[in-house]
Amino acid sequence: MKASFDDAVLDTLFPGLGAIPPASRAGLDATAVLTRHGAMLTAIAAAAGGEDAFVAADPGTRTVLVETAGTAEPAAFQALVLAVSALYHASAPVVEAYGWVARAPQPRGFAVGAPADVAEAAQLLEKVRARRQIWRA
Amino acid sequence: MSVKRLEPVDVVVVGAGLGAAAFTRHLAEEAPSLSIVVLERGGWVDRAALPAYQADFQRDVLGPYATSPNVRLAAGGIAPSADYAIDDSQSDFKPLMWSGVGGSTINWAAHFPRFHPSDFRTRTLDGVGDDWPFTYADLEPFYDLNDARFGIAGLAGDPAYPPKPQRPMPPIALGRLGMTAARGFDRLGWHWWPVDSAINSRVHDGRPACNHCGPCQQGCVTGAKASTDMTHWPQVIARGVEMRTGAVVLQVEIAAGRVSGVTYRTAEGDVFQPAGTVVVAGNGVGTARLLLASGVTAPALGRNLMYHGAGYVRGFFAEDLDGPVGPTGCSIYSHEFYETDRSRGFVRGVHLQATRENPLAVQAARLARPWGEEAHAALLREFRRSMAILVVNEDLPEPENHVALTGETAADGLPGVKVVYRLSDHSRRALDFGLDRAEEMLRAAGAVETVRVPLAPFTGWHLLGTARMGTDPATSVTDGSGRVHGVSGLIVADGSLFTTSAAVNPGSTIGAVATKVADDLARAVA
Ligand SMILES: Cc1cc2nc3c(=O)[nH]c(=O)nc-3n(C[C@H](O)[C@H](O)[C@H](O)COP(=O)(O)OP(=O)(O)OC[C@H]3O[C@@H](n4cnc5c(N)ncnc54)[C@H](O)[C@@H]3O)c2cc1C
Ligand code: SF4
Repeated sequence: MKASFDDAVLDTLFPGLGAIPPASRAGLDATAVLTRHGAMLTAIAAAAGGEDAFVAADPGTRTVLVETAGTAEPAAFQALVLAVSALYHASAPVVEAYGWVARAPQPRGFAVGAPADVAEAAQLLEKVRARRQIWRA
Repeated sequence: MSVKRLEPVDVVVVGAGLGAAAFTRHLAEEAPSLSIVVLERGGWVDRAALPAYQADFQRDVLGPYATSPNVRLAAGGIAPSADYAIDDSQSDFKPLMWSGVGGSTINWAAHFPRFHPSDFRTRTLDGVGDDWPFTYADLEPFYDLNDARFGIAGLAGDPAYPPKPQRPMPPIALGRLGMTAARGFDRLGWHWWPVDSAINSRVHDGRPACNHCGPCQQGCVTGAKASTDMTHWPQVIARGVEMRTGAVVLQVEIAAGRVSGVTYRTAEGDVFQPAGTVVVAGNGVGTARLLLASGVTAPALGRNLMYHGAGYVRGFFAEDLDGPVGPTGCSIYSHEFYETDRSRGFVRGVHLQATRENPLAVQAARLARPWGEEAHAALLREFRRSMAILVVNEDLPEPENHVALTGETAADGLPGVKVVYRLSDHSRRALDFGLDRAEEMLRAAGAVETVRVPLAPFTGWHLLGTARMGTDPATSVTDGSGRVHGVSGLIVADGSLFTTSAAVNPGSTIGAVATKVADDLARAVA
């Protein structure tokens, strides 16, 4: 039951939406994170009356149960959420579902700006230049 | 434990960060006959190992390469920064830094504004803070020298400042985000200007142009962003200065009112380095920690910690901006509200700065409710379509805001350190005013929704004022040449010297002040 309980918690924290996959299908290796935050998972199971009961609950009920456990231990819950969030939002399927490229920033970098920007900025700056001095001596 | 004693040198510099680099580079050029040793607790960065080469770099941004040393330590301390824990539980802002060759320029954003002339005379002009022991005009030649050594991309002619030298490179591309912000400021008739940045927009000084990869604050792998491990230390070492890394200075040795050298710890054991002059540049936390641990008794030591008040307003747009690319802090800024206007209900001013978007995982971590379906909905609304206007106000020196020792010995052998800081009513008023203006600007720029973040805890980038300059030993730690009152041969050359904080990033001024301090020393020994 442990694996499906873990998946149920992950998917309650980060369910899918449209093209965005739920956490259990985003290719995460969450074992270390879930072990580190095991106490919070135990609290979530306890709120449900056991892991099986949590897995058997519908998504709305799971959300309420997670919320209940999280409200009782806000710091531990926040830590769990942020740790899973970092894994989830850095995973390639999720990054791509959000419309971004899942590649290293280097060595290619990114193009920024359009050729017309320089001329438009220069034109806007003429007005600013015309103010001559706005600093106090 | 026995302490190895080395041959004496003329000058020992503690730290290899921004202030230390500016100081040592100038001293080595102006007084080449001096023997100089630099002791840095961390090591050199291997650029090839920095996160930007990895597809999952975002995880590092939130863990081992976070900007906070405490977060890095909690993630296992694997970044090449010799971090020490800082008890920041009593501080509204969390201190951010890097401890290695280059200091915090390794993970800085390299936005490079100068102070305004009025920033050096806050007591005379506005009756708050204190006047610096010198003026903008006195510092101007050192600003110019420092600019040339870092290499600045920017645009001359900004009416918010006295004229500055022509910049050798044009500004970093403003991008859709910067242009959108520029149009917003323009619609309101407010000042705006492309920032001065210590980032190459073209090939310059043997370093490449920025390719807008994004994670500057995890270290720049191309070397386009100036950091003193590239812009200063190789040149200084070529002049014969010796750099010793992995050297944690535990004590400045002081007897009968004069320094005799420093004791430092290495992996091989403890060492005493005798020196005629000791220059401490460990930043606003590290310098105060070391000087307090060394028994320096100046009443102002560790006091008047200034970070800058910081909050921001995030604007969400209907159309795409640039996404999480480009140098985070370097686009455009406004000093429309920088100088005092008493009708606002507070004196001094605020700096408004358009900041670029963060990677998806960082944006997600900042959501009000960062989990569940709502989180997706919120993130879909903002990712690639958001712009934050950072509001920075002039944090006034207040003795209650301070750096202190914890009373326990830390893992590095020094006493543990804590920071105590509460945002003042003055800062709250100034920030609220700035947040109102930021909201107004974002709406004018076309934002369909705005969200206020009235206080941003992880903005403790600037660690200032804890060994402040002044003329009165009761309220300052050093004189205008960085010499510690009452301890002959002891000098400070970093951000802790700041008498007041202005409302802009301090790097350019730290460099200029440290260069001036070196110049004063070079003249004194000539
Ligand atoms: C994430 C981030 C973004 C920033 N962005 C900007 C920006 O855009 N613009 C700007 O102007 N500023 C920015 N800053 C701030 C700027 O980097 C710092 O103000 C500046 O580097 C401070 O210079 P410093 O010489 O005081 O100290 P640092 O540069 O921090 O150097 C201190 C050095 O001393 C060493 N040290 C400390 N104690 C000891 C000891 N006991 N023994 C041996 N060595 C020791 C440390 O290891 C470190 O290398 C940013 C900072 C951070 C962290
Ligand atoms: S955006 Fe530019 S300056 Fe920043 S890390 Fe990338 S290449 Fe370096």
